[in-house]
Amino acid sequence: MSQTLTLPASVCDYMLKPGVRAAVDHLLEQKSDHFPIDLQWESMLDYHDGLLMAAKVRRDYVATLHSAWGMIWKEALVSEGYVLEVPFADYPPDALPSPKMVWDDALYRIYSLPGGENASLYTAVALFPNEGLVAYIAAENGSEKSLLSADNVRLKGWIPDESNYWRTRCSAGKVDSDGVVDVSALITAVREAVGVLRA
Amino acid sequence: MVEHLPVLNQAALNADWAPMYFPIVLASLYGDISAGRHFFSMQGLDWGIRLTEPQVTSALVHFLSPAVYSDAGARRCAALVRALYRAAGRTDVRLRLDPLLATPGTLRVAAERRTGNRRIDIALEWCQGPSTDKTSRRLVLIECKFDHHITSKQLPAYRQYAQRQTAEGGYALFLLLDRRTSRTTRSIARNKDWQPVTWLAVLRCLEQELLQEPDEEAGGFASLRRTIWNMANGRSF
Repeated sequence: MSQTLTLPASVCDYMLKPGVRAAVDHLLEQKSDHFPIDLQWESMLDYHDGLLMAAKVRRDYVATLHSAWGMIWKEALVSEGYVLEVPFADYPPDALPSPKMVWDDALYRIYSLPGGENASLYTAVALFPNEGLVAYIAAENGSEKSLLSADNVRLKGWIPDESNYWRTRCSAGKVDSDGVVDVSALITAVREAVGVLRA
Repeated sequence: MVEHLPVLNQAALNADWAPMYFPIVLASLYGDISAGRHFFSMQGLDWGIRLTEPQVTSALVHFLSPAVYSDAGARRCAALVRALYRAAGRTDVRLRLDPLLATPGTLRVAAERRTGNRRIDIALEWCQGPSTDKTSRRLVLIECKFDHHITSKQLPAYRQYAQRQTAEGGYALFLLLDRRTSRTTRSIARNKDWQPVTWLAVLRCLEQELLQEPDEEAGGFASLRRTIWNMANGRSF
């Protein structure tokens, strides 16, 4: 199984080139009823092309996280028997893979856990310019009590994050100058967390 | 269509119908964003404070001011004025004022410039021609707004000052806004001489103008532009 993730050119540029990042961030904030009046007719389509490119970067970002999630989480979850995915209809709205949520926050996938009607395992991945690829995990029993509370659990490859989530350490999934991420440390961290959950 | 067939065939083989990524299209909106001197490549000030409006205008004037030993200030002033016209959608170059046409040694840039009993945020003034009288005088007044509304008498008072100081066609008035509110829209409707422009549009146009100029980015001007961009960001173009 491959241990490296190669970013597409669009996501690679966004992560490694501050100019592309600033332009794409700006374009993604534009409302569809806006048009910049400094442009001329000859360059009118440039604005629409710019919006399309920004949307392309965001779409590729979602696709990249989708691939990254598969590389990092899939095998560990299947090997522990966590295969029952929660349908989108039961996702909290702020965990759905909408363009805005994935872009602003992370790509979440939620699994049902045995031992309670609403017991859930929350997994997520996100990519940042400085920190690189990051994985998140949280788990709750049917009473919304954390099964991975930082008060009771120690995870070597993780640090406690907000809202009872854990996140992998910053150095685990760095993007190199060619846009390649070595995901080995993240796979190891995920196995550790899923193993602790089973115990 | 025929020229795109190889790309379309490959897309079909890959089952990938997402559009291709062409970062070059971003350059037509923002200038060459891969250039190290582009302000997108710079960090803005990150001191945990938000600059005040007078601090922003004073810092801008610092970088625009002409110096005896360099013409960088004059070129920056000219770039800013071109950017203001562009951002306002005024493309007819025959109707534009141009600081590069200033009689040598007459270009002045000031923050908080006194205009009667008021002070305009930024004033660029110069003489164009052999005399220094009203017919030769040129004046660009820029009222900057960050988080503040325009008071009702401000804009007419500055316009009257400009009219007193120059002959017809000798002045230009720009209102530099971080956003358009219903109050600013009403103010603009009552003050047709003023060209409303947004900080983001002006910065974007200014960057494209500056990239045409020789690289003289020492001293933090690009960092200031990035700082102002960050302050104004989250608004439309």
